[in-house]
Amino acid sequence: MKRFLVRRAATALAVVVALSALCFALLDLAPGSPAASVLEARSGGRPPSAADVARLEREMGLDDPLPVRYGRWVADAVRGDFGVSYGSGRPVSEIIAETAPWTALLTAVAMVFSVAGAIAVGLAAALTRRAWARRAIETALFALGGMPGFVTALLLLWIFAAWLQVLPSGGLNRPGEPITAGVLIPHLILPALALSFGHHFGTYARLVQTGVGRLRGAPHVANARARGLARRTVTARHLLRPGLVPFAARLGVGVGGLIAGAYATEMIFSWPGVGRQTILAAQKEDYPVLAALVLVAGVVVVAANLLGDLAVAWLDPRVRLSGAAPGSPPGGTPGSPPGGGVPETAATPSGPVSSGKAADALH
Amino acid sequence: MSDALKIEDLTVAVPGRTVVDGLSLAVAPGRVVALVGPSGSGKSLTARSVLRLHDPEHRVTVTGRILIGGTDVLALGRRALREVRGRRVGYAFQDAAASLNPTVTVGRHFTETVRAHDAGDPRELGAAALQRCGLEAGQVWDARPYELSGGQAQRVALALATVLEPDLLIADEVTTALDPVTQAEVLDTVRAQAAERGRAVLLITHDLAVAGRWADEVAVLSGGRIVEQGPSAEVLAAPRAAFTRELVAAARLDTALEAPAEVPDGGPLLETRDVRRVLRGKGRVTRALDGVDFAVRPGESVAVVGRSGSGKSTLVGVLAALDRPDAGQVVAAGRDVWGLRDRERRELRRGSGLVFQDALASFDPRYTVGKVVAEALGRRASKGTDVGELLERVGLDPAMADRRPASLSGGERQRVALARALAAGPRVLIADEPTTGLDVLAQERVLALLAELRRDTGLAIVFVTHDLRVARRIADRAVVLAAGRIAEELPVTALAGARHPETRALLAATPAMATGVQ
Amino acid sequence: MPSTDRLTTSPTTDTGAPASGDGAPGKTVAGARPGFYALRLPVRRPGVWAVAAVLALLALAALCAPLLTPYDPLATNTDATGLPPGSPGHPLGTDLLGHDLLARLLYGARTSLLVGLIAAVITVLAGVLLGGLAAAGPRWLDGLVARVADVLLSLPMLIVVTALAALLGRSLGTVVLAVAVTSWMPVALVARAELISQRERLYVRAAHALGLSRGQVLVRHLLPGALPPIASIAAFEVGHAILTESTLSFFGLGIPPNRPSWGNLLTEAQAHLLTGEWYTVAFPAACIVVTILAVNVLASAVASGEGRAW
Repeated sequence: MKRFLVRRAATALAVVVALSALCFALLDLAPGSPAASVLEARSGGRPPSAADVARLEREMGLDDPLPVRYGRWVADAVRGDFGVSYGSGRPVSEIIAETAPWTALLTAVAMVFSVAGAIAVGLAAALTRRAWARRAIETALFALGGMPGFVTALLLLWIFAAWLQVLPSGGLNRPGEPITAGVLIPHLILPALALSFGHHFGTYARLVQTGVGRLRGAPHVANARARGLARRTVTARHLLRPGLVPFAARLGVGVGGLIAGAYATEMIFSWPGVGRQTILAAQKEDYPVLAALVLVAGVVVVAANLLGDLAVAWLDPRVRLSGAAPGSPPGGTPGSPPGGGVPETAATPSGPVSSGKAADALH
Repeated sequence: MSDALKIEDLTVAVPGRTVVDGLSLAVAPGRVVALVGPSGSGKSLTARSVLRLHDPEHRVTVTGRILIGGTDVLALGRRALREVRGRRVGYAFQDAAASLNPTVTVGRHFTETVRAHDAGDPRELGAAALQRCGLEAGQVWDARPYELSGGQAQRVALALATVLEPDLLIADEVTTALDPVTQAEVLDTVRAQAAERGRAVLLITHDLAVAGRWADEVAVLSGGRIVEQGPSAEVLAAPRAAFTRELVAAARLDTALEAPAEVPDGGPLLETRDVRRVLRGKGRVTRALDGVDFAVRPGESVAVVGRSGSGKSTLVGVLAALDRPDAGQVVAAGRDVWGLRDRERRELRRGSGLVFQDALASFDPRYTVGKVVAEALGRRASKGTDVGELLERVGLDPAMADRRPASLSGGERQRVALARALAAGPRVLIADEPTTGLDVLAQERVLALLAELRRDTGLAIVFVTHDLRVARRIADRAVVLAAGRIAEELPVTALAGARHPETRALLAATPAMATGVQ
Repeated sequence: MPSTDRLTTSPTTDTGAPASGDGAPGKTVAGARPGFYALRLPVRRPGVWAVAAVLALLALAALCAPLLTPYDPLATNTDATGLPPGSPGHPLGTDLLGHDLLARLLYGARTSLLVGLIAAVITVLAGVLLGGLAAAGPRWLDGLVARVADVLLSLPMLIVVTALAALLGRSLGTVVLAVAVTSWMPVALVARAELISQRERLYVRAAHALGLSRGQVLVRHLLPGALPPIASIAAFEVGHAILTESTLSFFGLGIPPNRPSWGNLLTEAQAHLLTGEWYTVAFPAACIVVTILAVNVLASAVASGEGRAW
């Protein structure tokens, strides 16, 4: 178990380092001088003189060697100082503090939708004895798996905001208007649904279905029945607990997928969160904001992955031995579940935890 | 005394087929009754019917009466059925390790069982049950199923099935995957419990010899009906039904098959000299072979005998020039195999045919039978007739060439493997437990084929097995392996008088059909 | 210890359950028949054929775009703005600037499919190469590839792609690069795992025992065995690449706006969704969904030897 933890943590650390390097590169290699951008922002758009730029560059330490600049940037970032936005001249940390709660709220609600819905639908598909019902659910999930997140969002937007006109299309953050629960909840429903359906719902449900479905005839379930256990115990402990391991293994990754998915969702529903801010910063080439938001989002995702791995290790202790997530289900039934639009065949060194990550992050 | 289990006119059908057809059977308290039959005869379906354990998905229909101490199980409601399960009837499954939930500890299995029936202190009952099965609770209570050895897992499963002291224990092929010594220990335990605690035992097995040694009564199942039933000694000594006679004959593997009149002279075909091989698994290193000197001479048949983990399969890999030993020499036809160039070594490999225990896995799943054999023929596969001839040689219909191995029976697959092994015209055949998964009838046919091949072509055979009966039947000489070393080497005729403790242990564990020993 | 599969299979058969009884051997033949057979299998599956036909049709339409529409996708016509679908001369209508939507859709297909294909080809080639090297090469290389892939997989890809795109500027090359950099890992890991697992199969050992050379074993047994999963994931990569392109373009970070792509069309049209011009969104969105779905169907058909949903 200890070795498993150490390995996971080491990978996570490597990811964070790689990510910070990428973000720093973003700042450092970006065209144009940050000093000029800052001066321009301060003076309200007037192009600064070359002398002013040079002086500020020296002050900001932009002529120091690369490792020094990187080290300073990391040290500042750790203290929460990400510099100043080129666009607005405000400290980046302020922008993060403003947007992060919105994204946290949105992803949390979407996660609840995803988990509850996927378990319900997945179990229905796994436990039904009607072949046509299973087929119907499988087909729907497959179709959902092929829908890009933003298409799902646009579809929901069109149905509920344009056609039925029962829910607002966005514009939550109007200046001067206090945000009460009565305002928030209608605004939250569509983005959260879009985020949930567009990102992972199908994959989750498929994981529940295949994980539980293939344990139904497993010897240990028959054994549990043969010992006269209550139906509830058999289902909960012997069918669901081992059967939900692959699903639980993906939850950590799912957080990453949701955060990535929040980019498109927030853009479409003008949700004032980190994702929208990131895209706007990328479009406006506001590199300090972009770098900081990418780093923060990345660190959150990595942390979620790590927590997910821990959860799996707790649920299925076999991973502690091998250091890998369980590739085969308890009961040893062979065969891998074909994923709903996500390649599940990836029998990777770190198991299914990482197999569909790349695809997830984008769906 | 009334019967613990009484099955009356049981019929079990799956969609499209009646598998069990009018079966009646009774098991009295304290008696062990074996239900014996080949694969597909319906014995496991019968056993599962007793607790109505069929997967609803499979739409199994069960009719007739199954009485547990007078209560008809088939008529019970869900709640009443649950009280029978575990409390009055214990069920031990074939694959013990898979029949335990890998995500919870062994102790948890006991706790939930005891609690489900409100039967007392789980730890106390569980420890007692484990003790009866020869395990210390302290060793396994907190372990998880995958951390147990095969024998331990089976004992845990047995203890779990008997923790509430049921009147009836159903042991469904519980020892099929175990080596003979462990099998004997486990079945001795089952028998002892029947005797001491007056428990009825229904022993499901495909091995008539196992039934003969550990059961009081034998019921022989064929085609969904019981064709013969009676005290095991009687049934084995004087089988009445034709099918039983066939089974008994096949299981009575004590006489040697006809050997060639003369064994050609010559130096060893294959030889290992002080071979050592270390296997490095996850975090553990095992000395699979620890200084083995072994030789096969032309035309002779050698049995390599040992229990699981004795290094038998490692020796096969080394003999076949597939695995390089860490130390020592492998000499084939007078040449040091690992001193040769790759091309020459490959040529040498063609001089020995290899047959695996799992024949199906040894075929490329994309290949037909014909392609499997043709590949081994190599350049000689100019005409389709060659493949046909080889198939006929091993007693298969040449028309089978178009089939896929997966659609064949176990015995047929093993014949295809033999045909492939013979394709290059080897002088020695290395067979790694080729009959272990087969039922006795299929096993007997494969053994007879091997003996015939040896007689006709002077083929030398290295036959790896854990079954001394098979060794006696097929080989002239037995090499007993234990912990990577050769424990003893002796003619098979001298096996009965062997001195070495390992050989004696294997011998003691082997159910002897000849004498019908109980 | 040799596998105990035989031991467990024969008595399992005895449980007589229809799925594991007589049906089992036959099912194995038809269902789990990987290899080149898998690539042949669609013959008997009309659904898969239909899906392939749809993809071919889309590709053909993209290729022949100039023949199918007289309009320049970039040309605006102030006399014909905001026409609904079915308008004379403009079967799919025009947008508020007077672009002909059919022309934009067809030319957009060129870009989207091209990017998807190029990116997928690069991804798969790089992935198979790296995976093959990891499987066959020295141990340190294996470790290196696995580690790097693991690290990259842990990064939220869209975030990385966004950063990359912002850094490199909008161009077709950027999109291709961003996709390739962020998606070779699953291919490499699948290729590696498949080759390694094939190598450890008993039938590969049996082939060696027949005296076949490494090359023969590779060509006859390893590659055919490893191919279907790799082909499957390659197909998924095409869909994935198209998805990434459209997502990036939708964010205004992908293909430059002067070149129509399905993602670009959606960005422009997004604002019209609520004002009644739903069709400006519906057509490009439908194209994206249909393409990705079709590719996914093919991919899972190859993966499992049977259509998942059909």
